[in-house]
Formats: sequence, C-alpha cells, structure tokens
Amino acid sequence: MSKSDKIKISMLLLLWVAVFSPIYPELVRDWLSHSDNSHAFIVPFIVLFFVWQKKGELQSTPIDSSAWGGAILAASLIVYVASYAGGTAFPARIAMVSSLFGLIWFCLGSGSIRILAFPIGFLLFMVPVPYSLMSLVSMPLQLMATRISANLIGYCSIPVYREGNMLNFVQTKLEVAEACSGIRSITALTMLALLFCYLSEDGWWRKVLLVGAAIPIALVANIVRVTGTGILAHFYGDRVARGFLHEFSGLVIFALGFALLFAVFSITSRKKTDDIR
Amino acid sequence: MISAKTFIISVVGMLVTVTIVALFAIRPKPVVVRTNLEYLPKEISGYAAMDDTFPESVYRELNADEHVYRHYRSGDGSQLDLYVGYYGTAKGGRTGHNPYACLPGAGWAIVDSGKVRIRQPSQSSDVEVNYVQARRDGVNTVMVHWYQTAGTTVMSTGIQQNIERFWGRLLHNRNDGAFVQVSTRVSDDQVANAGTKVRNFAGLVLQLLPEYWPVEK
Repeated sequence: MSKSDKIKISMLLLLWVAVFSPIYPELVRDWLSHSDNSHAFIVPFIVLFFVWQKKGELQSTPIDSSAWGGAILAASLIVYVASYAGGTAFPARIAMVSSLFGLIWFCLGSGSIRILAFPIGFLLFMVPVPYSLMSLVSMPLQLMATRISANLIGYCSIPVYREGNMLNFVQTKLEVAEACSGIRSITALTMLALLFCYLSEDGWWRKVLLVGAAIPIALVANIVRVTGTGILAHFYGDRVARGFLHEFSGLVIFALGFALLFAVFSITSRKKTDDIR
Repeated sequence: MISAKTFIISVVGMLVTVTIVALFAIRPKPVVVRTNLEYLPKEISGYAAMDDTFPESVYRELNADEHVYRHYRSGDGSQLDLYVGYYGTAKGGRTGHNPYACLPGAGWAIVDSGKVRIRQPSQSSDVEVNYVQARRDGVNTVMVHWYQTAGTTVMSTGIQQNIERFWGRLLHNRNDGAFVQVSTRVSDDQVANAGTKVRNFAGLVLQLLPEYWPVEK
C-alpha cells in the first residue's frame, strides 16, 4: 500500500466516521442506559487491535476494486438515509457497519476484505438489539431461569413458590428481573468465544463447538446465580439481591462462565495437539 | 493503488449521504404540547371510571409521555380496566412491552389468543385488534389490545406499527403512538360474556381516542 493509498483510505475512513456522526449520541446513550449493551464500549478498541495485528498482511495485499463492494456501500448508505429520516435506529446502525464493509471492499478489493471481514463484522457487537426483539429471547430465558432455579431451590428443602418471574419464600420474595435472563452473559461470552476463535488456529468444527458452548455455559452460570441468590435470600433476606452483593455475585458468576469457556477452549485445542501427534 | 474513480465515487456518495442526513437532522423534533388523554370521558356508556396508578418503578420502566389507567365500573358491578400508554415522537412512538411477554412474566398462563375485529359504533368499517385470555390461580384476564398512531390508525402488530412509524416520520416528521388495552378479570364461567363486554367497550374507546389524541408541535 503506497503512501497516497494510505492518505486516501484515511480520508475515506474519516468521512465515513463523519457520515454516521448523527447517530452516535443516541447509540452511546443506549450503551450507557442499558447494561445489556455495556460491552459495546470495548468493541471499537478490540477491532482496532485486530486491524493493527493484520497491518503487515494488509500492506502486502494487492489493491483492487470490487463492484460488489460498491453495491453494498451504496445500498447501506440508502438504508441509512431512509432509516434516519424514518426515525428507526436499528437499520441505520447496521448500515453503519455494512457501509464500512462495502467501502473497504470497494476501495481495497477482495484480498483486503477477506482479511478485515471478521474485524468489521465484530463491530456488529456495538449495535444494541432492539428491545422488542431482545424481549422475544430474554423473556422465555427469564422464565426458564426462574423455573429451573425454583426447582433447584426446592431440592435444597427450601420452601419456594414460583409465580411467573417471582420467587416467593417464607419471609421474602425475589423478582428474577429481565437483567437476570442471562442474555447479557450470552452476549458477553459469545463475544469472548468469537475472540478465542479468531485468535486460535483451530479447525472450523472446534470454533463452532466453542461458540456453541458459550450459550449453554452462560445459561448454566445464570441459573447458578439465580439459585444461589434465592438460597441466600431465604436465609439472609432480599438484601443479597441488591447493591454490592448482587453486583459482586454477577462478577463471580461471569468469571465462572469465562473459566468454563476457557476450559472448553483449552480442551478443544489440546485435542487438536493430540490429533497432530 | 486505489483508483481515482473508486475514490471519487466513494467521496461523492458519502458527501451526498451526509448532506441529505443533515437536512433531515435540522428538522425540528415535535414535542408533546397537550397530552389530552387524561380528558377521556370518565363516563362511557353506563360505565363510571376511577383513576388508578402503578408503582413508580412501573412508570419508569414504561417511560411513556402519558398514562391513562382507569377502572370503569357499570351499575351491575362489572369492571373493565383501561390502560393507554402514549409515546410522543421524541420517545419513538412505541413501547417495547407487550402482554405476550409481560403476562407470563407475572405468572399468568396465556390460554387463548388471536385477532378479533371490532366495530366502532359510529363507523362502517371495523378494525383488527389482539385478543388474549390468560389464567392464574383460577382467575381469568380477558383483554383486547392494539397499537394506535396518528390518532386514527389502529394496528394489531408491532411490525405494522413500525412501518406506520417509519412512514409517519418520513412524510410528516411525526411518529407518535399509543398502546391501548381494555381488560377484565373474571371466573371461568364468565369468560365468553367478558370477551363480548371487553370488545364492545374497546369499540367505544376506539371511537373516542381520536378526539382526545395528544397534540405535538
């Protein structure tokens, strides 16, 4: 990549950032206002790291132009304008990512987009899923977590009566709120699993296994948290489900989920080493 | 090397986009200047209303510009509950909550749901709304609910509402809307009768709402 190419691509990227600037304030507000989206803050930095890692490869990749990239760029910009004018945030945010994909493909060609497809795709983790879509998944998960936790608490000989997402104990009651659906852990662990996949040189089936494992791990970790909170609430009251203790238990359980995911990653990688031997 | 043609097309495409977006961005965003819904009649066809409130946490969660939550009682003692949650353009005109998710979350089992058509007494056409029957501890909640936008447009699904919101904002710079629910609680043997009462009352509410629709400027 020549110096003039670097200047051109820098200018185009700056312009791309400026084009989507009207949607940033609301996007950042969504990240700040809903804890399900808080992981989004680190996504751009992870992506920059990925790109920096690939800079040598990008330098030596011949520059080409792709009409397909141009078509994606044009379609994304049209969707963005329509979405912005129509007051619908989600398509505009998706268009932000897809337009970058189109721009790189159009200007740098197929070789470069092959290298950058994953980092650019990873930017989708910045896009908050609309509440109406999220609730389709989170509500059943919330109910499932409450139901299984109620059974587990019952097996511990603790009297508990479940009513929807409410766990009623003898002296207190707990609401398994939407934030306890496990969707946040699923998103965060899926993101981590994809990171592991990208950084490892394992085969496809191991990568699929790892990403697939992130969901049950997140669900199990969440059920452990709800059950544990319920048992503690029976003995110590509902203060265990509020404030520092609740936040701390969330971190502990996330660490457990991360450890389990790392264990799967290590086992599948070791299996690969054994296979080679 | 990045060709001059590719570079220029990209620059022009993005400059055109940013200009159009800027033109839309400078449109003033309407604000709710009169909520009006609180003036919905408290006497409707023999039913007399009493206002009710939710806990503060519920209002925070719903985040509407205006709530109407009333219990309408008739002379024979039957009660119908009305909830209207109005969201101005600035709040995107809609709520993310819907009974299909919220009822099970509160421990209700949905035993019947579907679409029903409701005729507004003074209109020749009828509109499609959602019907839900849910059960908990031997009590049934029978309800109809729908989304309403631009005062008069009635929709039963969130997708329809999103399309309406999109066109409303694009063409008229306005996409305010409301979630409307009429419900009652009855025992098993009264479900059929309750369904009729709820539908009839919903027809009256549908007829009244455009007159009391909030004003945005």
